[in-house]
Amino acid sequence: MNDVWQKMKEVLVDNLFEIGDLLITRETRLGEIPDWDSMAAVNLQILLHDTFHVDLPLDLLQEETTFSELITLMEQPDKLSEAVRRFRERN
Amino acid sequence: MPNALIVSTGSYLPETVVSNEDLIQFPPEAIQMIGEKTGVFYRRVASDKECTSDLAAHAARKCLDNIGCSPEQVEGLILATSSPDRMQPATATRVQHIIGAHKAFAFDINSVCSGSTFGIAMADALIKSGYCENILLIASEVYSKIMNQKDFASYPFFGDGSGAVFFHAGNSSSEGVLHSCLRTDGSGSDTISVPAGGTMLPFAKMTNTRLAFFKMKGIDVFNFAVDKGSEIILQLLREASVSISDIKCFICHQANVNIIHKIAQKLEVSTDRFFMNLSSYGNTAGASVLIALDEAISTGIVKKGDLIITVAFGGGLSWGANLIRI
Repeated sequence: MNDVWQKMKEVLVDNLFEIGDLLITRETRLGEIPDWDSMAAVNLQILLHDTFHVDLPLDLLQEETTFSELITLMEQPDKLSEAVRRFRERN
Repeated sequence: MPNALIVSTGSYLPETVVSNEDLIQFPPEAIQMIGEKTGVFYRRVASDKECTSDLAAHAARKCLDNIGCSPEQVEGLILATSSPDRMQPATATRVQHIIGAHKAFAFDINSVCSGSTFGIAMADALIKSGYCENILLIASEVYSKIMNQKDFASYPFFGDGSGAVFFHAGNSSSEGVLHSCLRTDGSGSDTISVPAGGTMLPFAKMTNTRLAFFKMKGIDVFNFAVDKGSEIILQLLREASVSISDIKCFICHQANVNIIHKIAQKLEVSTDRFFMNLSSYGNTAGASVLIALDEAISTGIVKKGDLIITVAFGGGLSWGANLIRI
C-alpha cells in the first residue's frame, strides 16, 4: 500500500493542476481538492491511467471518494471489476 | 473632440482544424463533456512555426487590405495578448516590423480575455486625446502553446486566432466608439494564471513543471463571467443613457455557450442577439471579441449604423464593455 500511495501522491502533486498547495493524506476526500469538479475528475482519471495503467470509470471519482479507496483499486488491477462493484455497493 | 470610427476589420484563424474527437489524449467518455459543458466542437491550432505575432500580422494585413490602406498610415499599433511571443520585448514590435508599419509606435496590453475591450477603449482614448488619427488594434492568442495538452480542464476549450480593427479619427459624435466601461478586481489574480516564468516564480525556481502552464479555476470563472458580464453591460447602457432594446447585436467574449446563455437570461434578451462562433473556434481568449466582430460585420449580421456592445471578462480579474455605432 505504501508504494502505491507514495507513487500516487508524487504523481498527483506533480501533475494534478487542481491540487494547489493541498497536503493530501490517505483519508483526503477528492472533494477536498480546492478546484475539484468534473473536469478535475477527468484529469485524475488520465493520471491514474498513465501511472498505474488502470482505467477507472469516471463515476468512481466522486467528491466522497478517498485516496485510500483509490489505492485499494490501484492495488488490484486484475480484480478491478470486482473491486469497482464492491466500491459501488458501498457508495 | 474626435472619436474613433471603425473603418475596417480583419481576422485570421490557423488552418489546422481540431475536432473534439481528435483529442485522443482524453478518455472517449470525457469527449462528450466538452461540447455539453462549453459548446465547443472544433478549434483552430497554430502550426509549430506560427507564434502570436505571426497570427497577429495575418489579421492586420487582412484588415488593412480590406480598405487598401498602407501600413505606413498606421500611427499606433496596439496588440492585446496574454500569450506573447516572449517575455520581452512586446510582441507588438515584431508585428509592426512584419507588416511594415514603420511609422507606428507599438505596444502590448495584457488584460487576458478582456484584452479586446480594453484595447478598444485605449484606441478610442488615444484618438480622442488627439495624440493620433489612425490606430490599428490587434488581438492575438496562441493558447495551444501555453497549455498542458493533457489538462482536460483547459486544453479542449481554447483555440488559437487573431482579430484586428483599424480605427480612424472622425468628427461625428453619433458613430464609432461611443462609450467604454473597464473594471478590474485584482483580488482574483490567482483565478486565471500562468504561475511560473515571471518574477514571482522564475523558471529557475520552479519546483514543478505544471506551474509553467495556463490554469484556471473553472467554477469561479464561470460565476464571475455571468455576474460581471451582465453587470457591466447594464452599467454601460446606464452611463450612455441607451436602452437595451436599441442594441442590434452583443459581441460577447466567446468563452462558453452556457455563460452567454446565462448573461442573456440575466439581461432578459434573446440569445439570438448574441453573436456566437465558439463552436467552431473555441475560446480564443483576448482575440475572441475582435474575431467575432470581424465575422459579424463581414457576414452582414452587423451593418453600418447598427449599435452594438462588445463585452469580455477574464484573468485579472478584469472585465470591460464598449458601446459602438458601426
